Amino acid sequence: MLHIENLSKYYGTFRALNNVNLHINKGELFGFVGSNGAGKTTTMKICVGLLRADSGRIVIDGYEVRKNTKLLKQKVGYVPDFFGAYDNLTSIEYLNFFANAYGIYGKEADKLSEDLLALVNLSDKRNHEVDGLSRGMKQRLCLARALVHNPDLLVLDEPASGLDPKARYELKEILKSLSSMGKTIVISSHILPELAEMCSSFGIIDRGVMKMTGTLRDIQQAANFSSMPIVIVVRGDSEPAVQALRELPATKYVRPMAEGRIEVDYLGGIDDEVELLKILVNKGIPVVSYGRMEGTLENVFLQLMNGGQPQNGPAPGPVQAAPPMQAPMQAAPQPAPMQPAPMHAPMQAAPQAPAGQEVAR
Amino acid sequence: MKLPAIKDFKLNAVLFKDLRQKTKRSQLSVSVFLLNLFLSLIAIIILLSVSFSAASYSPLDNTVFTVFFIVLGFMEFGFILLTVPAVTSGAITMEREKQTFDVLLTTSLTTRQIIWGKYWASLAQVILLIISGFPVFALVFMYGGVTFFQAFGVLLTLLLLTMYISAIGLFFSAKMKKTIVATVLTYVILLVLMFGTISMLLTAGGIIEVINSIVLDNTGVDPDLKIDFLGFILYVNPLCTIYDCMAGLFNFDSFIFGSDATMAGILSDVTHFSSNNILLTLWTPISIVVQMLIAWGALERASVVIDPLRKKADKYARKRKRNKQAA
Ligand SMILES: Nc1ncnc2c1ncn2[C@@H]1O[C@H](COP(=O)(O)OP(=O)(O)OP(=O)(O)O)[C@@H](O)[C@H]1O
Ligand SMILES: [Mg+2]
Repeated sequence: MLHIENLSKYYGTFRALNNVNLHINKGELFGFVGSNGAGKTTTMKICVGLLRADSGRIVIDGYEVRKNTKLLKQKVGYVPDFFGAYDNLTSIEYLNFFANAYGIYGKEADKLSEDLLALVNLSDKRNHEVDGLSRGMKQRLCLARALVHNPDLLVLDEPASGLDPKARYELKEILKSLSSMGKTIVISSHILPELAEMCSSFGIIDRGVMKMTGTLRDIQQAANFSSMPIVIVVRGDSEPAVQALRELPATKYVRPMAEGRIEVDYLGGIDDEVELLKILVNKGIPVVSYGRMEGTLENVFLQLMNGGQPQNGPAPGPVQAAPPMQAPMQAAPQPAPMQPAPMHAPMQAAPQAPAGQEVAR
Repeated sequence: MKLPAIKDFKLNAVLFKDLRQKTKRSQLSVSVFLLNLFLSLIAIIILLSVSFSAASYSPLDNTVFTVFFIVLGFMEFGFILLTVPAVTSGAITMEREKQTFDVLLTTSLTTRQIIWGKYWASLAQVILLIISGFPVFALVFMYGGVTFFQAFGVLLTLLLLTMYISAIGLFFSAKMKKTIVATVLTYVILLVLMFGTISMLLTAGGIIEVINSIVLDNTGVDPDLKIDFLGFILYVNPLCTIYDCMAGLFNFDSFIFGSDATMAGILSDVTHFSSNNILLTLWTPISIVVQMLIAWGALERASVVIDPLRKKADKYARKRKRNKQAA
């Protein structure tokens, strides 16, 4: 449905997009994720014909954007990241105007406008001035507006920003139902987890470069998880296992937990993991289960943003959210705890690093 | 260049939307009120003074009403000069400033339809204003002194000049990002069109005089150079158009000037053209045609300018190449 090939865009000498490639199938709900200034808006604007790319091409439904702008305007609906509302127009007049703009007039336009207002739950605001609607209502009205000409492809630039959780949920429901009607939807966001349960595939863009595309599973697998702890569960006393693990040079830190569960920060790839298991088994340790902890989306995203490498030490896993908070408390009564304080300090820094970079950029 | 199709000029969505918005704004009714208050005050002053002079048994002279009409006509022209740029130069920039323009561009409206819709909507607003002043003009008919043909001629010319000025304002609105910049530029260009052209001709005339006298001193022959074709630059000058229109219709020379007071009379004095030259005698219609063509061109250009996909000269391309090579 949407096919982007080697797309590049410069603003002056600044390269906002660098050979972006993307393919989105018909009916997909595609999540387009990237931090501030990554190039999401730029890509989307080029797709809807609001910006001229410097090189590369975009094909929508078999038509190249540059050559078929007029035709594609009928096929594409766009909700920009920032948009204003006309003063002195009511919601219904607003939708009517856009129906007219797409060549739909009279009764047909009236009916369509009413239906769309109902779809986005704004029927009670039909005679309210658009200018006086709340942000979330404007957002919904704008979505309704983008649907006026029944487009096959919807391009939504951060539609959820500024919405409260309830409005977000409602938006998600609307998008899901639109998707089930067979529309292809591209939706951008800063936050991967926000899109996770809704989107069927994702693209992650960073500083103008498409870092990765695929399903959630693809992305999780491709991300570098050697930084996630290995979780081992042993039967009976876990002390021998802990001892054995601590002796290994690749082991950074071992956390014995309750009921035979041990978490190990262990450097190395998949081969090293296999090696580790062999060692444990050879030592006669009764291993019940063994495996890397799965990364949360947040971790995946941050890793990709950092160029695929964790910045300082291991990235924080979900369970580690607690230890960093305990670390300072432990530090006072126990001057030399086993290892935690020095180990956790850099781990805390990791998630904040990208934010710091954004400010610097 | 592809010629515009009929549908570009048909009543379109933008026109309806803009009219709907404009009629709901208080701005419009306030300006109608102020204009007519002003015009009526002038009318009352003139009529009162006429009544007083009539009361003193002097014969009631139609000329007073003719002058009254001429003054009102010029005042209306001044009013157009002041208000039209303010209305049209915001037509596109205000959509940009309110961040509604991008969305408009993604609809299936063509850029031409957007521009013409904006144009007719702005014109409708201004013309409504102008027409609202007509009853005051009509006062004159009660006393005679102005024929229907004269009044119609003046009002039609004012209308066409409005279309000219509107197009210039809309062009800058399409070209600039900020309303304030577009408005200022429109006023500046209007000043240049009206007084810049005249100053330019005066300067050129002065230089030509100097050349004439130098050549005469050195060779003993008077080259008799004049501004000639340069004078036609005044075709773009709306002030000259309304002046020529009034001077022709009301025969200015009979009561203001000694000789032919139309543009033909004035230009035949400073050029080699005779005052019977058709390019001069038909000054008003020809200049209006010229101005309408300029208006057309400005609007065509405006619809190109707002197209986000148009090719632009990329002044950074070379610099990028250099950076790449350096890297
Ligand atoms: N009109 C412009 N002129 C110059 N640079 C621009 C312009 N628009 C965007 N950029 C730059 O291009 C880069 C990509 O911007 P873009 O708006 O596409 O990012 P984004 O992913 O949408 O970010 P955000 O999440 O903040 O909306 C940024 O570094 C930005 O500074
Ligand atoms: Mg953006």
